[in-house]
Amino acid sequence: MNKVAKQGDLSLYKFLNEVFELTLRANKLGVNLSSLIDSRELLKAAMEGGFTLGLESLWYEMAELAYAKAKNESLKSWFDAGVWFAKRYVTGETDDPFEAFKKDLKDFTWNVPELELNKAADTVSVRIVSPRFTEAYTFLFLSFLEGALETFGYKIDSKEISRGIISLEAVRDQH
Amino acid sequence: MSSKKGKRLVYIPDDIVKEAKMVSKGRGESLSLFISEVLRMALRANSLGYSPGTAAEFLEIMQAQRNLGGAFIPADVLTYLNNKACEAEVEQLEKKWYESGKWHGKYLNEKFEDPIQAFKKFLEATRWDLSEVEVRQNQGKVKFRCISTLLTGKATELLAKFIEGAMHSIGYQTDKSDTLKGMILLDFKR
Repeated sequence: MNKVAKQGDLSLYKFLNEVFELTLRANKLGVNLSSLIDSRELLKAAMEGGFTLGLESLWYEMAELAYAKAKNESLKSWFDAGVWFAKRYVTGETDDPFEAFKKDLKDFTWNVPELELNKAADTVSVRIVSPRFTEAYTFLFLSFLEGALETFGYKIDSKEISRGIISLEAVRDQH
Repeated sequence: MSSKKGKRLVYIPDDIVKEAKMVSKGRGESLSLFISEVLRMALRANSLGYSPGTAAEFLEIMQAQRNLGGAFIPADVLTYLNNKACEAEVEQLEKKWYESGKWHGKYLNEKFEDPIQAFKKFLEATRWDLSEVEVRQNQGKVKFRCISTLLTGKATELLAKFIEGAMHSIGYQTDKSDTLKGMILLDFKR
């Protein structure tokens, strides 16, 4: 602790006081220091995963405009993004790439109230419920998932889609 | 500071101790456990490059971002959407970015003592496609300078609209605007 205080040109006394002031400030915001660390790690992972942070409503509106203008091209752009995102895990050195992918996907979709992604033997089931998704955004997000799942070696077997709801089953592609 | 049996005594102001006692009690923890946990976290935050001061600022910015409805999107998709949506309706898209900026600025203005610095920190923390964010405040005038080697021309223009929207909500008018691919130079006055 002394070493850390010195690195910041602070006395131990001053450093500890700053730490406690920060903790109490965080407490007033209804969060604790571990959530700060989680947020920092989340941002770092998002940056490395090729994501950008912005306002959800703006993303939806832009997606609507692009989807209306060029539906297939828009779907392909999301599909390719899903492929790229999943490839990081497939080609990385993680022990369980799918679990790592699932964790990051859940973290990066903090605005989605319900996201379940379950893998069992040769199947993967996905269920997403997000009332704020527009219809276009729902289909674009589905395309992102399809790209990611294909990269993991799965093909979509069945799906049920409506605005804000994605429910699908994918099976391991034997070819 | 004194030490005994591997433990150390450090003086902390009474008001902080009182508040810390209340917080630890509220969590059902002993003060000693609470303090040990806080210090462990502080060391972890330090290893991520945060001093307590910068950590507090970051925490508030992230909390504000969640409250505002922040969401992640793949960067390549954003570039695509910028280009494609611009082809569809460039004016409409600029308006949407401007309105989003206004909404953002309004929130920061109400939430932070210094909304301009909070906005700068927000850009630094979340727009990692910007390699430089410089804000100079001087006698009712504010100069914004953002540099990026990654932004396309359209993305630069849209981000500039977002910044203008935010600054207008904070109570400034655009005095001068100069936007080049990857470079935003904006002057504002009260």
